[in-house]
Amino acid sequence: MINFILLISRQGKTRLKKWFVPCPERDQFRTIKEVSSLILNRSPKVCNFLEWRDYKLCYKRYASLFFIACIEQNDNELLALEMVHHFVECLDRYFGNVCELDLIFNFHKAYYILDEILISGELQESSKRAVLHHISEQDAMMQENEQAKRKG
Amino acid sequence: MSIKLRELIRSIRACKTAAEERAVVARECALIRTAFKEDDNQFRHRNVAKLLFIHMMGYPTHFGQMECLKLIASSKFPEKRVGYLGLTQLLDENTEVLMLVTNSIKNDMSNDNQYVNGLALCALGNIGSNEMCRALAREVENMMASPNPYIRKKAALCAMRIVRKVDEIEDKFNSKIGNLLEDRNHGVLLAGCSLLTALLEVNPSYMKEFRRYVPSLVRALRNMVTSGYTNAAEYDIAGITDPFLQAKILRLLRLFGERSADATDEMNDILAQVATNTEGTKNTGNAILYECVLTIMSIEAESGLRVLGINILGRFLLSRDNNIRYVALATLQRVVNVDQQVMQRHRNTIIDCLKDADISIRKRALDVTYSLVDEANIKSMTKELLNYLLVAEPDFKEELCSKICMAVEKFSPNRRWQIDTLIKVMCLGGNFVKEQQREKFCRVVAATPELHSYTVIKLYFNMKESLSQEALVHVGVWCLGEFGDHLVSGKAVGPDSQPIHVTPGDVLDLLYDVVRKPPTGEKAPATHCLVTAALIKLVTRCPSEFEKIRKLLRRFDCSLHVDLQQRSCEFLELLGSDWDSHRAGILDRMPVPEKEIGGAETRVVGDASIDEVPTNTSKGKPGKSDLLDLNDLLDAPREQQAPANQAPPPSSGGDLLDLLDAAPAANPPAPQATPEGFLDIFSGTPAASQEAPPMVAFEKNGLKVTFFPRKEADGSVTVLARFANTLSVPMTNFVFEAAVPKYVTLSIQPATGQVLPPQTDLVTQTMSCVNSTNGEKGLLMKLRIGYVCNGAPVQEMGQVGGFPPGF
Repeated sequence: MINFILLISRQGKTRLKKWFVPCPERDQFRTIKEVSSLILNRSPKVCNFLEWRDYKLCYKRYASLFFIACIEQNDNELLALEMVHHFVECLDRYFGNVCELDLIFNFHKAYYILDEILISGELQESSKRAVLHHISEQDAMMQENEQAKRKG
Repeated sequence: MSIKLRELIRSIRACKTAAEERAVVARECALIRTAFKEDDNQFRHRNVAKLLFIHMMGYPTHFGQMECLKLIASSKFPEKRVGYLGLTQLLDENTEVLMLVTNSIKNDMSNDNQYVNGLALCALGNIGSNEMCRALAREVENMMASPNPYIRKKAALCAMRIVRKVDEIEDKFNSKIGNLLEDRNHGVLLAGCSLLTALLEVNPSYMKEFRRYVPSLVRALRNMVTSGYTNAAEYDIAGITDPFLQAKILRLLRLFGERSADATDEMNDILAQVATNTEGTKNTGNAILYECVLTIMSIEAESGLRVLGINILGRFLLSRDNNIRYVALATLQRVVNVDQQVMQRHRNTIIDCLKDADISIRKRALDVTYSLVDEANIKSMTKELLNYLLVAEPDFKEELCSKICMAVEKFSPNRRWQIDTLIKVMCLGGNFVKEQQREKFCRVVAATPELHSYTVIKLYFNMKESLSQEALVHVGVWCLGEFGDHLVSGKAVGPDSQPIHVTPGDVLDLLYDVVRKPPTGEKAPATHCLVTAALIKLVTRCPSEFEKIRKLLRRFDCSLHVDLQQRSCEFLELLGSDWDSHRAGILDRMPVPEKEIGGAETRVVGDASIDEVPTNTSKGKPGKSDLLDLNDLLDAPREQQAPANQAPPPSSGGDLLDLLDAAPAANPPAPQATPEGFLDIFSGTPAASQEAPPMVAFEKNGLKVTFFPRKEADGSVTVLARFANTLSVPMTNFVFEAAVPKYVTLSIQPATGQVLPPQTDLVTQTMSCVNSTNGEKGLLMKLRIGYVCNGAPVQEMGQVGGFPPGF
């Protein structure tokens, strides 16, 4: 199971954070600091896994962003990378060639997409088409509401 | 007036300094707070969204928690959606106000709109607390039967969370598993597998009940790996159909196949199919192969399949992709107990990984390397590990040193090699060798009289070379004190048949250097304490240096370090002429603890010469005056020949010196006592052994000790002691000790337990004795037994004779 997911920019700024295990806010930020400094300092040639406390960090860099998943000792590291990639592809299709700016200004949408992919640290949907379909239907509901409000 | 989220983000990004950013955030937070206070409905969800951005930057935002709850209670979807997002970001399951949201979630679960249901389920699945899980379990159960797969999959994952969180209702969803696993929707299937995995992990006794689903799982997996699968396009990733589901099923199969030959039979074929047909050129395929190999190695797979798995592992290990090599090492670590041979075959590759540039790989490789060491390869592996010690980063060194020491202790072929290797470890990583390991080294040396001369000479020359490694200096100083007489005797001969000449003056010069330049500044007093103890011991070993020793000791009699000062004052006192007649006794060699005598004798000493040329080490001559007699061994382990009212204790403080404080007989036998050593080394072939009838060695107050003596082919006697508790209460902290006369050597292994449960005789302990008179004098044993019964400690003594003649 995934314990938490982080998106960190190369400058060390948090772009998304999601914990699936209870963790007080203070510890979250401490962890983010620790984990990002560990990962940002790794050479690009080394492997994508890093043992950290009792967990494993699986990360991958996409353009200017590091996607980091913290998994448990017995989890499949390669599969974790695959899940991260699955998420990235969903983002990419949703935004159409996603870039860091998209994720900054639409950070909430990135969360909505993540919520359609993972629950409780486990994968809930492996079809990208299904994920995007559900997201677009919900987006439509948002708009209907906005329009109704404007009319009313 | 409230600005838009976009504008806020823009203005924060425009900030040039951290202070500027803080100011913008503070201003906005104040505005949001005011809006919250005024209960502004129109912009509440926008404000919460802004707050979420501010939260992500690390600013405190707890004042938004209640607003999330209000948004969730709203009937409008946009507000709900932001509310739920805020809920999962700003709160976690331990936040107190979380309980207030339970009712809203319950309402949303029964909403007509599937997305409202979805939001509620997602929140429950991500941050549901124990109470919430309990309160909403029934709703989740109903939703698992929904006709809508979108709801079913989310509900199943919520069920998984409930199973993990709440103990009492873990079986609530058992009846739903079958339907979930037959579902055609992959999302639902995935969720079903996750739920089942969680159930099995929480309560392995469900294994039997769910065993019947193995065929469904196998079928689902087979569908995906067969070409022409109807859903292939939708779930395709890099040419593989739904790797996530495949991996999930493989993991479940692993749980079922472990220790079950029947279940394994049902999955052999499909595992072989996955292992052969999955293409390993991309990460996706490798992720599945990795999972598949783990399953193959964990279940009772047939040998052909296992070979397949091992080959994949071998391929992984040789891969150029660091990720793949990493997982190969991780797998090896997990299967090390399954197949030692495979491990040994890849030994060189693994050792190469120790030199990798990547710390993750080095760490994995090191762990695997430790588990590779055994009797057969201890020499070559230690060499590799020592090489690695030379280059390893400081973070690794401490663990590395202790792992080497442990391996050497466990597998060393003989004492000489053991001592050599430990000295090497201390020369290379002496600042990382723990006190405990240093102490052990001293015990080993002390317990091996044949090597006293060899060791002290070797340490002396190593110290002359460098005084930078603390452990080396510490044990070296101790050995110089204890065995300095060997060093200056001139009897030792070097490799070129030239006698080794070390004058007492040289020894003192070396100690003087240590005093001047202790290896670590902050621990100098500890080093100095050891030096003073060595100096005083040298008084009897190098009488010619009496004055020099006194002068050196004087350096410390005004030391600010209290222990050191006291010690040197006491030692100076001891140099006075009043003590002339007693000094030799007080400063005699430290007796070896009983348990070490046993431990030491069980291993061959090895060559005691200094590189080929034999030295004059007549066995038994040096050291330890007389072994204490039978009674002293048990009763007065610490009292030496020193006269009563002795003012200065011969050795106080300093862990290394206090070997004796671990009163030999008062401790349970050392757990590291080697089990077979003695017998195996000398006998070689197992020959017929002679069994004697069991004898009652001790019986009192409900405790009965029965001996089962057996005479081995090599003349030694193995005695199995069985402890029976006939009372109806347990005996705890049970310790059984035995002592034997001088002509017998005894080694005791640890008892199989420290607690004797009532009315049982399950606990045993094995002793082996060698009677040097070959049975002319009968075997005798003195027993001491201690335990706690009904909370009261009991101490018993006993004597056992009556062994059959010839024992």
